[in-house]
Amino acid sequence: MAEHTEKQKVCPHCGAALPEEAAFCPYCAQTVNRRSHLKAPAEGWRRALRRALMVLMPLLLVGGIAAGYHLTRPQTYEGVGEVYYSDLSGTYHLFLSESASLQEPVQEMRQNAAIGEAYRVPVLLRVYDADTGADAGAAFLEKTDRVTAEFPTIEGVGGNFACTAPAPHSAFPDVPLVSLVDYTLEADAEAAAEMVWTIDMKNGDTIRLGVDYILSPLPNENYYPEDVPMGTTEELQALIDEIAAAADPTPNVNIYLPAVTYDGTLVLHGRAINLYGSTGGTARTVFTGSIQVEAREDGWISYFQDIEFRGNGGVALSAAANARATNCLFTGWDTGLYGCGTAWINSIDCTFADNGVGLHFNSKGGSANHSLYNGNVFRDNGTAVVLEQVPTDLTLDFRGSVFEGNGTDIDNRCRQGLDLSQAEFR
Amino acid sequence: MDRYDWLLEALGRGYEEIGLLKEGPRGTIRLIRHQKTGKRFILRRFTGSAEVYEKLLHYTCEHLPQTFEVASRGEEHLVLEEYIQGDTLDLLLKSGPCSPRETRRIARQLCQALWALHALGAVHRDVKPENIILRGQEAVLIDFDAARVYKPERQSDTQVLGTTGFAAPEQYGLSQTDGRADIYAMGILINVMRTGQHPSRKLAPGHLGRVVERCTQVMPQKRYPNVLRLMEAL
Repeated sequence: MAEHTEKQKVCPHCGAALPEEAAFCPYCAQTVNRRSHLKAPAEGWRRALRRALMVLMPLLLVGGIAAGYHLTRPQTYEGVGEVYYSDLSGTYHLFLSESASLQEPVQEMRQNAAIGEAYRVPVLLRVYDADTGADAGAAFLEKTDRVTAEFPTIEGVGGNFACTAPAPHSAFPDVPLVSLVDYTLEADAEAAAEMVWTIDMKNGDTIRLGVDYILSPLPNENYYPEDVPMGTTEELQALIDEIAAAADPTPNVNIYLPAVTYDGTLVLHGRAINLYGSTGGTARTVFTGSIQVEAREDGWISYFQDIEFRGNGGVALSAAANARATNCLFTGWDTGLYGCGTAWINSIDCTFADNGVGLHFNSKGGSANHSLYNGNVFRDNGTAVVLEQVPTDLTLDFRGSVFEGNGTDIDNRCRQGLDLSQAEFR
Repeated sequence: MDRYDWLLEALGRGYEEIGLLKEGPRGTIRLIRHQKTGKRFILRRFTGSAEVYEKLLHYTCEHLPQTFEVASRGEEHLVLEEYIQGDTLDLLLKSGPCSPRETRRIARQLCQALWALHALGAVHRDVKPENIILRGQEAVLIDFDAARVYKPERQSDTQVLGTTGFAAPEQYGLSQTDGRADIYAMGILINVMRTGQHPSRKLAPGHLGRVVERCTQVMPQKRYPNVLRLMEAL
């Protein structure tokens, strides 16, 4: 043991003699002094201070507060995902969220995108009273002069971002403002952009609220008839079963069908699969039997494009998960396109002719993914469109669609909001 | 035997050197191991000021290495410090810039570390990627050799310390450094984490870019007044 002449103390761990001022025992390698833990005040300290001030406020002179308030205006408030804003009447908690059901602020939105595909997702501005937690959207909006949203900077190549002006939206009746973000990814690389909401208050204050969007390429997995047997319903079903059993569900699966006629029932299950009919020459891809999309919870959309559904009763395309038909023909069916379960279904640029019902929405889901039903022709159907149950209150927009010769054009049993201002009825 | 010799002798008897991590004009940094327990420590021998290490002897902070012992003889100092196992931020950045979320997370943790130092009246003065170790999800700010205790009555620093590019203008003699010099370096660091470059070459986009601009104002009065405000902005 070392000897030294200074005043000594004894290590409480090993009993070694140590200098009186020692903080550490080098013999047993343990600390021998008392230490305090240093931790910065919680980041909400300013909020806490504001709340404390709210409690004390009645005790202060109103005139003094008002004078101080006006002297410190206008102010700029900035935040990513959320911000607290205070004025004379209280403190508001503003934040951005992905859906009406999510109450957590989101600072970063990560999205997978198939290259070249266009996507649209909502972003919701939520406003609550910071002290009581009560919804304060309406009261807050009355104090705003102007609200805008933009993508001022885009990082990486190949990312295109745009957004609609913030406005109330029928799909989110309890949310004060919604902006719809459109994005595409043109290159096989990650792209990012910051969306900035700027809220100009009538009192001159400015609130800037940001959220980062990060797009990651979703790999395409394409199947072509020259590579994989898919000339019959049995072969196509075998291919779909094989894809559904694959371990990695990430890629965007596209099956490019040959110009053949499929009979019998085809079942899509396990994951979203996109079927593209033949567009080369005059021959088309035809289904005379039903396609059934089984229920899933992943939210991905199965796309059906350039396919002719020619039937003799029954249901052509029955979707219990999200599905979208584009440039398809539905003719000769009891029902052409049927949405059930929790599915959201869309038809765009399709023709529904000589069916009992052209499009039948009977779904109880909680989310919507597209409001447009544009460019369709509904001709000589018993009932062109039956709206029995439609998820959310989203207004369905039939712009550019034509209704002619139908027994009933639209049987709106659930009184869904409809925009028929640009539809044509002959 | 004075305390300096006592510590040196005790370390020489019961510890073995694992490696020399750094050697410079101001001193050496060695990784050593306590032979009985296998515990590893950092041993600093340097000349200059050890006043910040002496203050840290009485405190702990999860984003600062623990200072176990300090012994001085005149201008020469021995500091026994916690060994932080992990990669430096410098190494991480070689594989590409950080995401905005990651940048904010690391920067906020470094603000916690700086708050602790500033609360002790100290300024780090050398915040840079090489001095940040990532221990799992925790960022730890190391190396207080350039740090000093802020003395309000002084007109300017006696020595210019810090790393070119990261040091605030006042560290080059324009005025005395205080905590806002670390805020300047934090701005540079945030920008480097997001873009890999100094803000004068490429400013980070979006909100973080605005934070960087505020941090790196030439006039300290125009920067965030303290790291808590910077944390809020992040």
